[in-house]
Amino acid sequence: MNALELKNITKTYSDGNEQIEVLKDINLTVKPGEFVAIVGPSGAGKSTFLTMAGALLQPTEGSIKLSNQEITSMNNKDLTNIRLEKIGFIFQNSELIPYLTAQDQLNIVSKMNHVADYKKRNQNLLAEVGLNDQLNKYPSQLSGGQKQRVAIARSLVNDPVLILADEPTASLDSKRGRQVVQMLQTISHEQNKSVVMVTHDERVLDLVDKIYQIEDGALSAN
Amino acid sequence: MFLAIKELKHSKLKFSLLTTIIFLVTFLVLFITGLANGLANEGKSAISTTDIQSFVLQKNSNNRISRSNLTNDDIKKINNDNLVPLTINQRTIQKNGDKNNKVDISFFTIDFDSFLKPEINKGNNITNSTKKQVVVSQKLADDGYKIGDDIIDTNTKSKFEIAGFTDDKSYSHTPVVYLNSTEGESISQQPGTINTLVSKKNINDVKGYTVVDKATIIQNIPGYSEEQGSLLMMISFLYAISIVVLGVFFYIITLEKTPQLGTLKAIGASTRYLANNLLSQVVVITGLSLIISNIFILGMKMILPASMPFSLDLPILLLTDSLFIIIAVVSTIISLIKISKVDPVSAIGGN
Repeated sequence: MNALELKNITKTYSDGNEQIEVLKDINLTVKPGEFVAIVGPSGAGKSTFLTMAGALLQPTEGSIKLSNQEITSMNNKDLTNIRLEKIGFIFQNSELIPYLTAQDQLNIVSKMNHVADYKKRNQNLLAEVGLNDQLNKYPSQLSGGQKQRVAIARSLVNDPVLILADEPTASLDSKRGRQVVQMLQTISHEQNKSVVMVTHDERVLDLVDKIYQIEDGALSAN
Repeated sequence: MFLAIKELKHSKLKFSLLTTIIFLVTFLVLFITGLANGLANEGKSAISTTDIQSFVLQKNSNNRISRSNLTNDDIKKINNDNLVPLTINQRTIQKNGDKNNKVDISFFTIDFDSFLKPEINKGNNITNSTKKQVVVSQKLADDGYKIGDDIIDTNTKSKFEIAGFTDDKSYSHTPVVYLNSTEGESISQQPGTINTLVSKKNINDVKGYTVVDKATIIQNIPGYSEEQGSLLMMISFLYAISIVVLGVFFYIITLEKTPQLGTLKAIGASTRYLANNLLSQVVVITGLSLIISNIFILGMKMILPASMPFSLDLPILLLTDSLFIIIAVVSTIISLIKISKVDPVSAIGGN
């Protein structure tokens, strides 16, 4: 069973009278335990690709399956639930909620998933990314690398099928960036999770299993 | 609630300021409501606290007691055992021997064997056969009148002794002085006539006369409806202003949070979840503000002088409080629309 399966995905936007094809006939399968990087220049369609794979936007054409479940016909409400239950997101600037402590960043996801007894488990998740001393710190009290590690822990709370990382090293120096990507590698391999990382940081590409290139909306294996 | 409470705890300054503003607005609304009620009571309490259901007035008296005049012939013609007479004379009185301190009052000439007989707080009541004695409103005590004092009607120079005090009975902002029909004759400008006949029961139409209910009579007490109209207008505007002010505040706070809302939606928060959070925040803040302003209002009630009539009974207080909660919730509508429009896609691609 594939964790993520994209078949013939096309996305077009209309700009005035013109139709702009942002993604052209994209095919991609990601297996459980596979760590994939998508690279490409800005404007190539990386973000659009991520919004499709992350169940945030529907493609114009094609089919997307998440652990064999077709999501292209779903309405917004069902897509929200898919994201809540099956996808873990790691954003470029970690995007933590400013008024929540590190552990509450994770607890809110458990709450939304109606999970009971989440406290201990979420504390363990933070301990795994090396933050057992920062449980009650607010984002403003954490460094960039620590914030990104909280974001990684947050993406694991719902035990997702797929983890999507949007330029996770963009706001970090090379050392901390590499630590974060190593962490994603470990999660992918040890917990058998599919991780798809969009990046243009070539220094971390040695850590991934497969590299794909997006250029002018077309995806190719590297 | 989780998010709402965490945010309230974290942004204490922001939400304390907001609570302060809502407190001030609710305090003002409650205060003006209390003053409006106090003034209303000053205008009508001598009528509104009685059991009167119906008033029989002379035709064409415009529903005003003072414009109606019923003669003995009229009373015979109307011929209804349920009816008792009431005559109101608005006059100025002074204490015996003190020409400098005059007070405007309303003489209520009533039958002391009827249901109109006032209850006494202090001193003695009088009867239909009492001579030269009256029962007066507690309000006169605030003007320095005591039991046993003599009052003089400056018009007719009739002199009466205060036998007892009733509670704060007033009519058209003047304290009420109750007297029996014999003594009523001595101050009347049209002896042998009365203003109106009243009944505890609902009276059907009487041919040749006007029958009206208590609410209509109260509306036509001189100055009453105009005064209440102005105050009601002020209160309505306060409510309207509150909706706008609170609406703008909540909207700005929501705008400020838009990026986070996008992130939350991206990680699976539904619009309903986020909307419920905003609403519970609003209810918590407004509830807190109301508790504080209610405490202040109760304190205010205790220290206000008698010259500033203030009345806010529990039912009206609770009604105003709940109305304000509704107002606060209504004011979030624009913010809720904003929340529903936040696109989770905005979380992708950085800023």
